Amino acid sequence: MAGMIYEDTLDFATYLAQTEAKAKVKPAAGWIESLIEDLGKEDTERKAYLPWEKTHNLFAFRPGEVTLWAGVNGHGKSLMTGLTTLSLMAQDERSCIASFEMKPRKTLERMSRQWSGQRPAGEWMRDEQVLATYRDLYEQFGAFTDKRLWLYDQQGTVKTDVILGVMRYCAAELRIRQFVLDSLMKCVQGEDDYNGQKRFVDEVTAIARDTGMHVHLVHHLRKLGSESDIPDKSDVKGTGAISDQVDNMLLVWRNKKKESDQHAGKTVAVDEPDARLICCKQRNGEWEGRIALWFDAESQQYVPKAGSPAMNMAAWPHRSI
Amino acid sequence: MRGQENLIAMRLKGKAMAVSIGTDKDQSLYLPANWKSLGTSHAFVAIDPDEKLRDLDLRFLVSLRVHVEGCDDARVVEVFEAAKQAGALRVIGTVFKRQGEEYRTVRMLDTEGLMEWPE
Repeated sequence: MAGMIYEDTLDFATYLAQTEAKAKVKPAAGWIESLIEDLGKEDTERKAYLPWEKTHNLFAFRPGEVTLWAGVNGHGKSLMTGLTTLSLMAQDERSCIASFEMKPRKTLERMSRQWSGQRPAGEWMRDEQVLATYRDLYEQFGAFTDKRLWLYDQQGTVKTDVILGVMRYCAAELRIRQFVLDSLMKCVQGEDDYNGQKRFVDEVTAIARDTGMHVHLVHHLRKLGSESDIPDKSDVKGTGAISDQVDNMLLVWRNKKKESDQHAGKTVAVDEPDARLICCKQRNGEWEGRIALWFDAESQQYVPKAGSPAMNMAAWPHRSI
Repeated sequence: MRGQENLIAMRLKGKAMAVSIGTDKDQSLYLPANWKSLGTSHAFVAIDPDEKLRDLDLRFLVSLRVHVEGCDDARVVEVFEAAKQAGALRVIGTVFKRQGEEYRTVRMLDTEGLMEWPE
């Protein structure tokens, strides 16, 4: 075999142009044959799922796709993506988090709380026995993360080429299957750089497609008119090309009105959700809609039913502890 | 199919290199998709076992030396033939058999006949 790079003996651009029609215009019968061949076959595509069992027949993270997670500041995007990452790890999906807004130690502290269902040890804890229990919990969590979780240690902004290189490295060398990028705006210069945003998302979708890695891209929504407004895809900040290019779109919405009513001592309906995860795009799935969730403050988990205890994040599928 | 974009981009700039096509399941997990940055001597392209070859655009293989490899004899032959049809300069196919942690070559194909094995 010839080695390395050499001068092409063919004018490839001309060849592509000349053969384009022959290669791309095909009779419909070929695709129909393919549809017939696949009839009755089990869907073998390896998918990953959201943490909640009630969503498994509605939504999936497919290989080579990009999912946009968007929400207004303070609506719990990072908590939601942290919980989802734990779930993906339990599904044996090698995962990497690149958070430019939170240090790895803080990310892990929050995730360990979601994983164990318990508040982490703080300075207020002095009891040796209690500390030993928490030490044990951290060690168990550490064992759970082994060969399942990697973190990119970089805060603030990052150069586009650098993060794209990191993503390619993770896919090729670490065999990462789920990459969480938090957030898009830290990778692009300026909120009004629409061309930069379009180019970046285009690159991210190409990496996902080339490597089969699923990329979770965290992004912001415009501030809504009122706290009780429920967002839709038109509320995504920046260029519309972001929504157009990604495969899936999940909007995180926190029921701030319920919270403020509770704080004001008003009666609130128990079955009123604390948060909603709104799927407003799923390119390769049929379902779009809203998932009602309730917040368990002790574990910082979003749970699937009102009053449900925290889920066991170490075992898949996740059931209540 | 993954990994061909880099090769196409290179060919559009007037450069070429040999290409290795992996045909086994989850090939993309261990074939570096960013082969260009790794400085290897071959481009790597992964074709998953359940991909239908008639749906794939293999024109980027025209006039290149191509190596097709995998553990499924029938699939290696199928991709070998498709590469030949796409106008590759020379195609070599290698069928492996996995024995524990090792892979043993059990068959080789060559459009020029020189590396056909067993004869």
